[in-house]
This record gives sequence, structure tokens and C-alpha cells, in this order.
Amino acid sequence: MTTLTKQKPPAPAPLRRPANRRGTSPAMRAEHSIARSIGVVLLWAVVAISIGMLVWMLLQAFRDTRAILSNPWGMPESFDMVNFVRAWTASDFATATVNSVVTTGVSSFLTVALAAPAAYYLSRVESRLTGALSMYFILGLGIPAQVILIPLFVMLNEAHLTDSLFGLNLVYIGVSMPFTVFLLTAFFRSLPLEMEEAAALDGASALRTFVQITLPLAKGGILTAFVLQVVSHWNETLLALTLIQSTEKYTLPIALISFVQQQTYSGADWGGLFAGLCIVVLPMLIVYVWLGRHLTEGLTLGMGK
Amino acid sequence: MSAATTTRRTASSGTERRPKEAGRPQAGGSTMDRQRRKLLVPFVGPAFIFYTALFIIPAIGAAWISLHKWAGSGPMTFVGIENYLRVFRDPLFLKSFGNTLLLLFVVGAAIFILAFAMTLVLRDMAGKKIVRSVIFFPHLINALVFGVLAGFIFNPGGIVNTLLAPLGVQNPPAWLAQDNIFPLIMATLVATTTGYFTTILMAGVDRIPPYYYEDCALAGATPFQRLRYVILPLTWDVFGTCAVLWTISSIKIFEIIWVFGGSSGAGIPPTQSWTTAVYTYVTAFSGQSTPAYGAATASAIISLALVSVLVVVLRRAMRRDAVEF
Amino acid sequence: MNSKSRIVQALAVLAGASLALTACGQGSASTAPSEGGTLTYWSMWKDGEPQQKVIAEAIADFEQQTGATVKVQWQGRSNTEKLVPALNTNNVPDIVDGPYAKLATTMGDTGQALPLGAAYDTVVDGKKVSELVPAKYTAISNIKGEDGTPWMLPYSLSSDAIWFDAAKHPELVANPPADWNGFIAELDKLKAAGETPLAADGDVAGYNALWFTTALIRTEGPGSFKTLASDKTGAGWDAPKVLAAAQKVEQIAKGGYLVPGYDASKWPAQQQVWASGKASLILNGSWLPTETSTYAAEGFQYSSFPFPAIDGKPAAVRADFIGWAVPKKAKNPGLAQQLAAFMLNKKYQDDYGTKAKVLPIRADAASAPQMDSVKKALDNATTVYQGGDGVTYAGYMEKVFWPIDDQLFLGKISAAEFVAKMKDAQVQYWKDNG
Repeated sequence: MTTLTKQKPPAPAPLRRPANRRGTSPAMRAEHSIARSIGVVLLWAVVAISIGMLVWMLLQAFRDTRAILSNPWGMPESFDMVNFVRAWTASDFATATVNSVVTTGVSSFLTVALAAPAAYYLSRVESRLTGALSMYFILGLGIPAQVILIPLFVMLNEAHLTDSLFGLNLVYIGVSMPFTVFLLTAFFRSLPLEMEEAAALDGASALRTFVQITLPLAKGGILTAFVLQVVSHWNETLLALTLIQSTEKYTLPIALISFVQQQTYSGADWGGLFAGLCIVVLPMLIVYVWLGRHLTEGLTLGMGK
Repeated sequence: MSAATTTRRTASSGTERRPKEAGRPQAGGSTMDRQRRKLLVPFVGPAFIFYTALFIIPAIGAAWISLHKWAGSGPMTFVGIENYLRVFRDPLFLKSFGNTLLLLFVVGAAIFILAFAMTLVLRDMAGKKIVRSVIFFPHLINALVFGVLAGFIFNPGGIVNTLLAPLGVQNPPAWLAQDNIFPLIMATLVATTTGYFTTILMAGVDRIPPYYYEDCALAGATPFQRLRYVILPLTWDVFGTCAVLWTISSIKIFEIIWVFGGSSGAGIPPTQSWTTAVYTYVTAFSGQSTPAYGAATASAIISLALVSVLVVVLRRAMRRDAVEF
Repeated sequence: MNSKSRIVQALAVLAGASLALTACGQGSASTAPSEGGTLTYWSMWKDGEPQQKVIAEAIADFEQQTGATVKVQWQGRSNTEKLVPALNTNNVPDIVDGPYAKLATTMGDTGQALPLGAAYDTVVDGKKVSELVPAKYTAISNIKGEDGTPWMLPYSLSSDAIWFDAAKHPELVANPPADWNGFIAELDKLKAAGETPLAADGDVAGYNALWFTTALIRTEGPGSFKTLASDKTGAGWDAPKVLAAAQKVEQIAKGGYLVPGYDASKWPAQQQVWASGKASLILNGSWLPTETSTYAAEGFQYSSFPFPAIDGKPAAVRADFIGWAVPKKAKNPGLAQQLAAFMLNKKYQDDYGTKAKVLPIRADAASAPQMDSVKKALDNATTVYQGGDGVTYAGYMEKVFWPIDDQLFLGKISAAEFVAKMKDAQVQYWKDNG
């Protein structure tokens, strides 16, 4: 409530409305300052707890199981990487990370590349057909993956695409299509038409208008769609678990599941387990710290066009 | 919406844009329109093929399966709509369905109220970018991580209780008791998802030009009026998108329930915390008894019907209500 | 070394011969040991687990001696879940391993598993496999297919017992409670001495269910729970013996013996409490030493006694199989059965007992000291039964029995309420599933 970043309102207002004079931030001036202070304090508390949890997890990853169980608040005696080495080698996280990065990247990119033109068409052409097509795509929004699992498996197997990262990519593209088309259709609809109209008057073809005018305008929305796909494909578990059999083709969530199982069934190794969790979480954190601004900006641009 | 439009007109006399519902069909003239229509196959074709082949056809296969008694492999027996009747008669399914609705509406409401409040608080708070980044991060983490940590945090000798003990709490709640797991999952979902929606909503609020607020101040609007007539209408489309996003994802919430109650994925969560997604999965893949794929797909198709209805309703409600400015 | 390989060769020849006789018309099944062939094996073990090391070693020897190639996927516990969709295709593994409950529901009950007559007829270490696997185990009807031939070849067993630290309670080694009343007296004694008598991870429904099913089987004999569950009228739940078994569970749940918070924790929290010495007893599986050894208190000595006898009836012992099954669609079923039989060699069975510290199926195999008490109980038992008494009706355990049994064990309902609720739920279940 004391962050006074906005410029002062025009002079006459405070004169006529003395009640509004207290705060100088026009946007927030009239918020109840007590409620706001509580909000601020709570927010910082959430931030502190979140960071605390991460740090705690990281610290525990350096301790051994007995020590962790006897005192969950203890500090590591040394920063020995032994737990990390064990976790890393026990469940081949290196391969899994590469698989996850490639699968996530390729499938997210292709999803957006295929969905964008479709969404553009559905948003610009109004006819009974496009209405039906839109509904057709929306229909898929609610179908949970476990429903289509068995038929999908049988189909993919006919095409020799089970236990294949290529097949998994295809599936990710297919199942992401409804949401991405839905999101981008809404987004294209929100774009102003003036520039397209102008381009059309200049004699540009519809295809050229799309590529040269609409796509650059829609960069934010497309980036958002891409980011959302990256997040969901990165964490996708069920389909990968069913469609991939060979351990060398595991993606990261599957490697994590099998690692957790291994740790809990054959003698809980909490130190190793925490190290494993860190191995999964920390790269995400690093990427996030590095690219997070773009990520949230993507969302920001996309949703706020 | 109309209120917002009025506000906009009075506020920004300079911007002279048509509300977009006017004139869309004629956009770009008929030549452009005709040209566009030709793009149907190249533009929509690839997406249509991928989606149909990898999603719709398996879904039709699933619908076919739902009319049968089938253990996943081996012989199939046609039973008609018997599976659907059975699922509806099963009190456990109704309970799971209730939980799905709880997630959809209660968690949804909590997320949106909190996210909106946070958005207002965050708007010009010091360190807003840091806060926003931190609260967004949990969304990127696999649910399994929370499941593993939950035990450590909420076990009787876990972190929360060791923290409460010095504060004089002698009999802390039985956090992980079967009846408390679902509320705990709901709280966890609120905690991990709010940041995500806050980020999206902030995007909507941030794009409201500052002069609207100035106008409000000039007009002597109360904070509530400002919220009601400026912020809400101008972020309505973003809300709509978020509502649909949440509806879809809430129906599919599965992993976090699975790992929270079910011994980190080793067992089956207590029935008190089942949702339709869990019901479907257990019916088909419990590993403890003969799979009943027919009943599993039937229950999934019922939840599909639910989402379809909700999404259509939401779309109708939110349609073209977006205000351009 | 020489003698061993000669034996192996002999057995391989014999195996080949017997397989040639029984091979079920699969032209591709190469049965002659010298010809080799390729097998795909989906294992429930993960790379690095003790059991995996034993199997990997056996497979390496098998490959060397037969020239076959075995492609193993160490998939972990979800291997059977992955098997279900695969069974609808022609791309199935030749051999899978897993616990009975999972193999039965995915293959055995759905008629997808090959009868393993050839494997059972193979001679290993001078004896037919059917003789090496004690008859009391194969007598269990639910591993037999329609033609009476078992479709599963077990290689190890899991059982359950009431575990304790022999270093802390040597008196229980010499003098385990003789019957239920003795058990309750022991619990009271421990409680009076200021100890927490029992630990339990109440979030694992399967563990909670052990109390009722075991108590029932102790009084009514193996198969009684399955009979009870199969009763479409639900009238079986009115029997006084059933109520008596439920009352024993109630006695445990409401007697103040269980560790505080057992109803609100997440596995493995309470077995950790037990292993660190803060609770005296725990009813759990024979896998408990493996699971808890990393955090057990200093000097912890694993020992156990069987679930107490009730009414002086001879104690049957739970024996859950972990073993192999071969899908009917396997491309190389002959070789798969050959491999399964080969892995029952005493050498690998001994390794199971001593290195992996589980219970090998062969009675003559060595076992680890932690398992002594359980092994003794198994060897002495005249009859065995399977976990959950072999009930695999679709959804019965996880949707009907477990939720209600949880309420009983977590102290929310009484034995009488439990019986009444079970009756209603079961009648409804069979109306819907009958």
C-alpha cells in the first residue's frame, strides 16, 4: 500500500473528492490498506514456505535415511554427492531427461504448428461447417486419456508404433489438438481485423495474410499455447507409462515413478529418494529461472493478447 | 459488458474501434472470404487427421467397449447399456462423481477468488515479479513429487506436527486420516494451481490501461464499483478462458489423488478421495482384480458427457462477451 | 563346475525332448537347445534390485548354455498393467513375471495364459519341476487353468507374519503366543510395560485386510473367505464365525494397542516407527526385512511368529506366488518354458534365499536368517492359501471389501456394523456383477 508507483491523478479530483486523496496510486489507492497489508504478508509467507520447502528437500538429499528419519530438521554433515550419484545411476535419469526434452519439444512444436492454421480457419470463416468442426474439436476436450488408452494401444501396435518415442509424439499431438485448437481459435478471434482487411485490400492472398500479418500478431498466443503444451507434455505420465516399455525410452515422469517404486520396495532410501526428486525438480527450476520470464510473459501476452 | 463499453466510450474518446461482433462475417470483403474458404483442406486438414486418427477413433473404440463386458483381453460379451446402469447404481461412482464436482466448483471457486485477490494485491506490490514466479512454479512440478512429500509433511511425526508442537498444539489434526485426505488434496490443488491462474489473470488485469483507473477516481467510484464495472468486465474473456481451462483439467485430475492417498502410487487411494478419473482407472487397472473395461469406459464417457455440457454452457455464457479496447 | 554344466546340458536336452513332445503346434518354437532363439521377457523387477540381479545372472547363464538370446525389459511393478493392452496385439512378451494376484487378473482369469505343462515336466537337478515345487503349492486350484494344468510357475513365495525385534524381545522367539488369547495377553503385557504394542500402516488397505481374512481363515480354513465373497445372497455374513473374526479385528482396533496415528499416516511411516524400535509388533509380509533394513534400529534382529491360531485349528499359512507366466500368443513359448524351468536351478533358488532374502519356492533352497521363522511356518504348514484367499472378482476387493474393512480396522465401525455393511454391499455387488 505504500508502493506509490503511479502518477498522481489530475489535480481537480482530489480537491473535489477529498476522500480519495490519501493514496496516490490511482489504481490501488482505495483498497483497504489493512486487507492489502494482510494480503502482502500472506503472499510473502507463501513465497517463503515454497522456497523453504525446496531448500529443505535439497538439504535432505545430502543426508542418509536413518538421519532423516531421526530428525527431519537436521542439517547435512557434508555435501557428499553420493545420494545423487546413486539416484542418477539407479534410474537412468540422463537418458530419461534427453527423451523428455526431445519428446516435449517436438510434440509441443508440432501441436502448435498443426493447430494454428486450423484455429485460424475456424476463427475467420463462419459457416455451418466451421461451426460443426469447432464443436468436433471441442468434443475432445473432456475425454480423459485413460478412456482411449486401450483402443489407442491396439491401433498403434498395428502400425508398430508402441514402445516408440515417435509413436508417443504422435499421440501427444493428437490428444493435445482439441485444447490447442480451442485456445488458439479464441485467441485469433480476439485479434483485430483491421490489418488483415488492409492486407486483403492491398491484394494479398489469404495465405500470405495469415503468414505475414496474422502470425506475427499472434506470436503471444502461439507462444502461450506452446508453453502450455510443454508443461503438460513434460509431466504427462499415464500415456507414456502404457505406451513405452523399454527402459531406455522412458520419459522423466516414468523414470521417476519407477525410481520411487524401486526405492520404496527394496529398502526405503529416503536420501536417494530426495536426491531423485531434486534431479527431477531442479532442472525445471533452472530452466524456469532462466526462461521463466518468457514463460509468464508468453502467458501474459497470450491471454492478454 | 455494456457497462464496460460505456466506461470505455466515455473514457477513451480517441479510440474508435468497432465492437468486433459487428461486421465479422464481412471481414476483409468477400474475395478474401472466398479465398479463405479454399484453405479449408490445407489449414484444417492436418489437425483434423491427427485428431481424428489418434483421438476420435480410439474414443469411438472406447464407446464400443463400454457396451461390452471385457477384461481388457480375451472374449468380449455384448451387454448393451448395462455398464452404464451399473455405474449409475454404484454408490461409489456417485461419491466419486460428487468429488469431481467438488473439485470443479469448490476448488475452482477457491482458486479464482484467491487468484483474483492475489492479482489485485500483486498489481503494484514491490517484488511482484519474484512473487509471481514463485507461486507459478509448483504448476511445473510433477504431482508425484507432492505425493512423496505429503507423507513427510503430514505424517503424525511429520514436519507440520513437529512445527505445531512447540506452539502448544498437543493434539494436531489427523491430517492423513481417510476422511481428511480429500480436503488435503483440495488444499494442495488450490496451492499449486492458484499461482498459474493468477499469472493468467494478471495478464488480463495488466492490460487494462491505467487511464480507466484514473477515470474511476475522477468519477469517484468506490473500489467495489471499480471492480464491478471496470476490472471484471475487462478481464471477462480471460476469466472465460480460465474457467474452461479449469473445467477441463479438473475432470482429469488423477495423479495427485493417486499418489496422495495411495502410498505414493503403490496402493489404491481410500475411496473417500476418489474422483471419476480414479474410479475409471481403478475399474480398469487396479491390478488387484479382473479389469472391467466396459464399466471403466462407461464411467469415463459419463464424465465426458459432463464436461461437454459444462464447456458448452461456459462457451455460451462467455461467448463474444469479450470487450476489445 | 564341470559336473554342473554337464547336468545343465543333460537337463537342457531333456527339456528339449519334453518340450518337443508337448510343444503346442507352434512352429516357431525352437526347442533344441543348440539352436538358440530369441525371447522377450518383461520383468517386475527394476535394474539393481536384489531379485533382478539373481534373475539377470540366471539369464546370462541360460544364454551361454543354450545360445538363446533373452531380451529383458526390467519394467518394474507396472509390467502387468502394460501387459493388458499388449495382449490385444500380436506383439506380446514371451514370458512375464509377477505376483499371482496380478498375473491372474491380467492373464490367468482371462484365458490368456498358456498351460505350462512343458515347464512342469522339465527335469531340473535330477527332478521334475512338478516335484521341485512342493505339491501343496500347486494344489491351490486357482493357478490351474481349465484343463487342470497350472499356467503359472512360481519361483518365490511371499507370506506374512507378526514381526518383532528378537534383540529386544528374545522371549518371543522361544515362546511365541500360542493362540489368540495368548496374543492379546502379550499385547496387554507390552502395553503395561509402557511399549506401543502394534504398528500398522492403516493407509494400505491390503495390510488392514490381513487381519480379518487371516482370522477368518484360521477358524474356517483356506477358501472360506472366497466362499464368503462368492455368496450372492450375502447370507454367509450372518454366520457367527464371521462375526467372531470381525470381533477380533475390532478388539485390535479398539483395544488401544495400535500406534497413535496409524489411521492418519502414509506408508511407510508406521513400519518405520516399528523398525526404529518405537513399536513392538507388526503384522506384515515376508518382504518387510528387505523394505526396512535401511533404517532399522542398530542391532535389530528380524524374527516373527505366525498369526496366532484360533480355536486350536491347524494353522494354514499364506503363500503368495511370485512366478512366471507365458502368454498364449507368445512367439517362442517352448523356449520361454525352458527358461522358466532353468531358473529353478538350485543355484539361483539359493541366491534368491541368501542374496535377495526372499522365500524361494523350492523347499531345499537356502534362505536368509531373517526368514527362518517364516520359512519354518511354511514348511510345516499342511495347507496354504493365497493373499485375499485368491479373490479376484472384478472390483470386489477394492470397491466392496477394502473400504468397509478399512472402517473396521481404523476403528470407525463395530464388528456388527461391519458384517451388516458387508452383507448389503455384497448383495448389491453380485446383483450388479452376477
